[in-house]
Amino acid sequence: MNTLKIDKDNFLKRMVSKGFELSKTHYNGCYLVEYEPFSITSTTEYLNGYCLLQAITSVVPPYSLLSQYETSNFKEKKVIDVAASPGVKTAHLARLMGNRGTIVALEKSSKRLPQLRANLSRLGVSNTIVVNFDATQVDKIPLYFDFALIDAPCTGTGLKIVKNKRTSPRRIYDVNRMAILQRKILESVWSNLAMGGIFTYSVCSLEPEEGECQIDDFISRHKNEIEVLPISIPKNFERLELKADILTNTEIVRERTIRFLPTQLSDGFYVAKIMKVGK
Amino acid sequence: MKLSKLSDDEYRLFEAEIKKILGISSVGRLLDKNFLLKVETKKRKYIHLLSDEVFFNLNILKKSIQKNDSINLKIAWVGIRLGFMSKKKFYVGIESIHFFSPYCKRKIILEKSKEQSFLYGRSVFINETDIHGSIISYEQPIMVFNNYNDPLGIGLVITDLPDNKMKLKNICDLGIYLRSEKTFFAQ
Repeated sequence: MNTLKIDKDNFLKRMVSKGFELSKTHYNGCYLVEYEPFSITSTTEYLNGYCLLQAITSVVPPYSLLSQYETSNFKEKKVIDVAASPGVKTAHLARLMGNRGTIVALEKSSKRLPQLRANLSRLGVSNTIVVNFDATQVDKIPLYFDFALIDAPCTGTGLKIVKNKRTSPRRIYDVNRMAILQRKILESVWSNLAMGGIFTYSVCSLEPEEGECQIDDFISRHKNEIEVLPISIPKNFERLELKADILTNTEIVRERTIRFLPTQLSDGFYVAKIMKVGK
Repeated sequence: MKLSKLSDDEYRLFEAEIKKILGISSVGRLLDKNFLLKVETKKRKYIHLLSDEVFFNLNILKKSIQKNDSINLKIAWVGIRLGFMSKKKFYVGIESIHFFSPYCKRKIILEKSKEQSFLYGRSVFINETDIHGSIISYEQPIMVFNNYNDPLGIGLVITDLPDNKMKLKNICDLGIYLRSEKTFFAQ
């Protein structure tokens, strides 16, 4: 639900009166839709931007990045959201920031911009600058960011089982191509991350080359400059975790980053949270 | 996309139209410390509202584009879109109705069945009791709400109908987010 536009109690009361069954999750303001008498997207509440729909795993990156701070702390803070369309995570960031500070939302594909614009305006997000720009060139922008959400472009193999979205098969060539792109994005955003800045890296892919190995490689390149931060996840999510013991050399990647396997409830996902510290 | 400040004439047009639609005497409280920005695209001149902080960061981005031609950076959206200017008139956009709704002093409140029809993009028959606040002229667009006081869109009251009936003509409504999200928000 979107606290930028409606308070929690009022929203729940209205949805229950319409016959929706919602259950609480580990994440404040996020509910699981247990039963819907009709599509939630056709309700006045949805059209008014009182709620947005996303997979439970997609909540993890923005929530783990910003939820520990009060909204008043975000004045004069800058956040970058890479590959922002369709804007669900951008809107979640704006909600956690209370529409304060500035979000720079990057989207390379101009075809995906209308959906991003529509979602941001529906959800009442007012602190965002949407930029049609290649995320591998963030280092050319003269802005330093306090937080970065890198929901990197990926092969999306985690989505395939749950949603059957992909119509074309993925080959090892695609995995390699995406891994190179992700590496470029990581490096580019890293160079414009302020000292003490934090970023979350996430992909909806099951391939370790795009997840654990990518972060392992990143850590080895920036050994003394980073701190991998732990991510809080709900207790009932423990069963979805997979520690990729064989795939990575760094123990910290095994311990502190999170791998979700696709289930009926959620997509396959990988999340890591990293802080930039001094050399 | 070209970004610039509003000229004095454009601001006057904007202010006059907002006052008429919302039924308020001043827009000062509404704009507060925010900035108004004119965003010119191939199709239209839009007016966006943004905070001082976003405005400051936007200027940095704009300057970087001007200084360095090799940056292929296009600003696609900023802040809240309030509406657009056309033929020396300001039109309130669907994107801003939630922003304007708390200040609205003249409105139409629709009951549930009519609310659904209105959200489907249809015009609906209304009674005088549905109109709240003083109406100076029926030629002005008016904001439409439901029983929960959620804004639904903007309409125009048509009175010259047989049997003294009144009709609310749909100008824009929130259903556009479902009907044509991709085309409506394309620039």
